[in-house]
This record gives sequence, C-alpha cells and structure tokens, in this order.
Amino acid sequence: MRQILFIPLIFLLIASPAAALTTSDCFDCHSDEDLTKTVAGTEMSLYVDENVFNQSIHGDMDCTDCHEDLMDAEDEHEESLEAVQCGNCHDDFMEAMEQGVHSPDVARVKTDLPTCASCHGKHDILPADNVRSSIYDLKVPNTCCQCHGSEDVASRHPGIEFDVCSEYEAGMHGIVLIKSGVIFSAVCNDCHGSHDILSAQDPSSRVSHNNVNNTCGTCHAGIVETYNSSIHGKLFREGTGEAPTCPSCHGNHRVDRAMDDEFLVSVTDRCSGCHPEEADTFRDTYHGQVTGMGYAQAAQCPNCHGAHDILPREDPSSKIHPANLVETCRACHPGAGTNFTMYMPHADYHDASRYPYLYYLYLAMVILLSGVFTFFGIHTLLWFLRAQKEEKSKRA
Amino acid sequence: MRFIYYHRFLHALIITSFLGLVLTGMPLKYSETGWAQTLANYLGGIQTAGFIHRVCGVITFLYFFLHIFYALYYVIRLREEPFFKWLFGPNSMVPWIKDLEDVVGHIRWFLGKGERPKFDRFTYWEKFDYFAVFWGVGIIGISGLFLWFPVFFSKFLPGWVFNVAIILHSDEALLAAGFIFTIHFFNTHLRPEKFPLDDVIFTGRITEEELMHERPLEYKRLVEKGKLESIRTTPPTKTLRIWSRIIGFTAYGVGLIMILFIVYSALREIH
Repeated sequence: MRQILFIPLIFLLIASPAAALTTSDCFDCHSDEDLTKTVAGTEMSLYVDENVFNQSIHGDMDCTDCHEDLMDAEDEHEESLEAVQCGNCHDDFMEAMEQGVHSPDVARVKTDLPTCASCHGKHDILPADNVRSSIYDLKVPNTCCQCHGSEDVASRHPGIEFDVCSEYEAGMHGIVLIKSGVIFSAVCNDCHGSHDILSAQDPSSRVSHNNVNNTCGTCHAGIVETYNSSIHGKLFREGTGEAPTCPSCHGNHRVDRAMDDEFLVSVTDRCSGCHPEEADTFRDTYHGQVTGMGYAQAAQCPNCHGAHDILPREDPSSKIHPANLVETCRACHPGAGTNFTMYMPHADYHDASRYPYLYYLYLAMVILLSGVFTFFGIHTLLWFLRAQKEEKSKRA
Repeated sequence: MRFIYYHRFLHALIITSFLGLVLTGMPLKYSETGWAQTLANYLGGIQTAGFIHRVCGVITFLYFFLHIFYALYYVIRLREEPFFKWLFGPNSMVPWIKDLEDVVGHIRWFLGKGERPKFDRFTYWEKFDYFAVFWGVGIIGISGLFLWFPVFFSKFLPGWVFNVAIILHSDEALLAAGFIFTIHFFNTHLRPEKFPLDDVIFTGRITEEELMHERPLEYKRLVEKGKLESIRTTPPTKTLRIWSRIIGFTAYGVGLIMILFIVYSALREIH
C-alpha cells in the first residue's frame, strides 16, 4: 500500500520539472470564461474556447507549439507572452508578407499593421475552403474591410483609398458575391493577391498596368483574348503605357455591369479621357445629346466602334470599315442602306476645314438669327420707348 | 369680331404644340446643362419628352394643313375681290408695298419724326409672324421628319442630310422660340397699349374704339362698305376673359422660363 502511494510521488518528483505544460493543463485555466488580465488599463479576456480550438486547423497541435516561450513554464506563467511566430512553420507566407504592402518595413503606422491573426484569427483558424473561415471567399471582403473600410484607420493613412469597400459592394463583383452569394465572384485577394499584396504602382503588382489585364483574364479569359486582338491590345503590346487596360474603362473596385443603363450612358465619358475631341464632336450630335440625358438605347461609342474588339477603320474586320458600316448601322436602324452610312456621326460644324458645308450652313443660321434679333430687338425697344411716351402724354 | 372660332382654335393648337415642342426640345439642345436634365425629369424623362415632342410635332402638321385647307377655301369660296386685287390688297397676308412704307413710317414714328402709319387689317409685323410660322414649320417640320424617320429618308437622300437637318432644326427652333417669347410677346401683348395681354386671339373680339385706333384703314373701309354692323357681336363673357388670361399667362410663364434658360445656356457656351 505504501509502495503504491510512493510510485506516483516519485514520478511527480522526477518528471514534473522536466515535462512541459500540456494542452489540457492550459485549458485547466483558460477554459474559464472569466479569466482576464489588464493591459494598460483595459481588461482582456484570456478565455480560449476548447471546442473551437480543437476544430481549428491547429486543433491537433499543442499550445506550446505556438506559444514557445511557455515550453518550460510551470503551470503558473508570466502574464505577458511573446508574440507567436507563425513564420516558424509558415516561412513561405512570412517571406511573401515581407515583400508586400503589409510588411513591417513599409508600415507607416505600426499599430495598424495587420498580423497573421488580423486575417486568419488566433485559436480559431480554419482553412480557406471552410465556410466559417474568415478567409473563405464569401468572407474575404469583410476581413479586409475591417481596416480598408474603416474611417478611423483611413484618418491615419492619408492618400490611401478608403472607399474601396463601398465601391466594391456597389460594383458587379460585390453584388454577385454579397447579394447573389455566388462564390466565384472576384474578391479582394483574387486581384490583389493575399500575402504578397503590392501597390498598383509597383510593376510586379497583379494590378499594375502591365499585369492587370492578365489578372482580369484569369476569370474573363475570352474578353482578354478579344482585347488582345484589338487596337487597344496592339497598343498595349507596344508598351508605351498609353493603352487602356481593363480598369481604364471598367473601373477597379466598382466594376459596373456593362448592360446596365448607368454604365451605357457613361461610356462616352469613359472613352473621352483618351479621345476628348471625338467625344466632344459626338456629344453635339443627336446620339450624343440623348445619351447625355440618360437615354441608353441610343448609340454611343461602342455601338459603332465595338468594345473589346475595337479596330481602326482601315482594318477589314473593323465595325466602321466602309464594307461593314451598313451592318453596323443596321444594328439600331434596321433597313438602313448605303445612303444612310453617309451620315457623319462626328461632324463638327465649327470646323470649317473639315466640314465646310456644315460650317457655312451654321454661319448662315447665325447671321439669320442675329439679323432677325437685331432688327426686331431695336424695333421693339424703340416702339416701347415711343409707346411709353404716348401713354404718358395721353394720361397728362 | 376679328377672329372666328376656327382661327382661335388653330391659334390654341399652335400655342399648345409650340410650348410642348420648346419644353421638350430645348433640353436636348442644351443637354449638357443641369436645368435641361431637371426639366426632362419633370417631363417624365428624356424618352417621354421625346414622345411628347413627336406628338406636338404631329399637332403642328395638323394645324399647318388645317390652315392650308382654310386658306384654299378662302381663296376659292370666300374671296370677294378678284384674285390679284385680293392678293396684294389688305385682306391678304401677302406683304406688299404698303407694308414696306409702314415699316419705314413706323420707325419714323418711333423716333418722333412723323405720324403713326395708318394700319389695315394685317400689319407688317403680323404678316412677318405669319410667314415666320410658315417658314419655321417648313424648315423645322421637314428637318424634324428627317430626324424622326432617318431610314426612310435615306432611301433617296444621302446620310449627310441628317447632319444638315439637325443644324437647321436646332437653330431654327432657337430662332422661333426666341422670337415668339420676346418679339411676338412684346409686339402683340406686352407693349404699353396692350399690356398685359391682348386677348383678341382668344376671345376673337376687338372693341370698336380699338379697331378705329389700331387699324384705321380697315375701320374706314368697313364703315364705307356698311359692313361694320355685320361683324358687330356681343362683348366676351367673363368666363372667356378669364380663360384667355389663364392661357395667356401660362404661355408667358413658360416662355419667360425658357428664355431665361436659353440665355443662361448661351452665355455658358460662350465662356
């Protein structure tokens, strides 16, 4: 009997100083929901939900695998622990992080710097394909918007766009993801990457001028293929930096649906950035006027020129090549013939050298109007003065 | 009685369709301005405005042809003088030498250099208004049809006629609106003798004193031929007067607003 009691005692004496805290030791204390500590005057919960931890991707690991500084701790330990070094295992991700905009080296306000836990959680980390994970596709925008949708954070980072979240929600990618719940809509990391996010100004960024088309093309492959064969694609390959890329016309965070009236009536504005003269002359025409007032059914740039497949007039496949014009006009004006295509959709009657007849017609109209208004203006004024006098003398 | 019911009815059609056309057309001409969008929204959006514009266009053609029919009927059946005597006489709208003399005489009177010319049934500015409508409906109407049915007209006309048509349509419309809302309003209604409104076109009736003073030659002729009594009628009823005012002042209001918009937009364009 004595011996039986003695064995555990010896075991305790010999084994306990050398043995680390086991996970169950930790939960002896940390499963207490009321366990807290006070840091700089604020109370912090030290509770860890054992069930959640066990179901997390790290559920099979021990607490001290991550909290390494507690490896040698007794059951009572220091209140402040060293930061967990995820990079000890996930060194590839850590390295990627250090290259990107979330690297501590470039952070302007250290306290705003996201840590692994900011996106992945702590004791509750779940793999990306788990619907409850904070990096599950449906949740990614929420996760990023903790900072990128926060006015508080924005106030400390002048120059960084902080309307990206509301813009994203208003755009097609956001609507499809959030309203329609479609999981394969683009979320933040689909375009920006995750650990190695780079500024759009950085040439190796996924959203830089050079790479953004391919990034969009990972989903919109067919469109990028068409674009590549267009004049804009050719210009892009020439690499002068002047070619429009997908976001030049579609925007970035807020990508509107191209079939929507709101998008359609704004097309001229989108093209006018590079083609101001063409946009101006178009706006003076009937098509330009009615679309300018929100009538989306009338022709705008793409109706005649195409969208992703724009080609110069000389190209036989161009929508405005003389051989194709009848067909192009017929898209809106069924029955239109060759005569119809003699309409000048960009005619500028202010331009005497290119459109002399229209210019002189306009000039004649100006002369007619000025003539009539000058004559009758003076006539009316004189009449008024005379009639006033007559009325006065009649009364007097 | 100066204007029979038929004439007053046609003028009412002109007022309604003209105001409708200006209200729905000008926003397009000045589509880049904010007021244009606001006005189009009040009219039910640009698509509805376009519909109203076409309806008013049809009314315009309607009154135009109704008048042509009347004019032919007048020439063939109602005319009391030989054709050429009528054509260049006081009962025709055709401008003739007397009108030219009246222009000069009127201006001399403005400047205090002579007596006021003695006008007849139709004064030179009334004849100008009349032919301005002919010219306007012709140019604006035809160019409007071109723009409404481009595919049809392109079957026998080259496409650049639509470039021409939009210039004509737009600038003629500016001329018409500007003229009616300032010159016509003043000459006919707002000048001190008539202020605030000459309701003869609505009531059809003019007083004997006014006729005597305004159109002494016509008055004299009527008296000489003993016709004055045949056109004598009852004074306009109170209801007719009130309606004349309502219609007249509404037209003033719309005209004034549109003139302000046009002037504002034109000034903006210059800048």
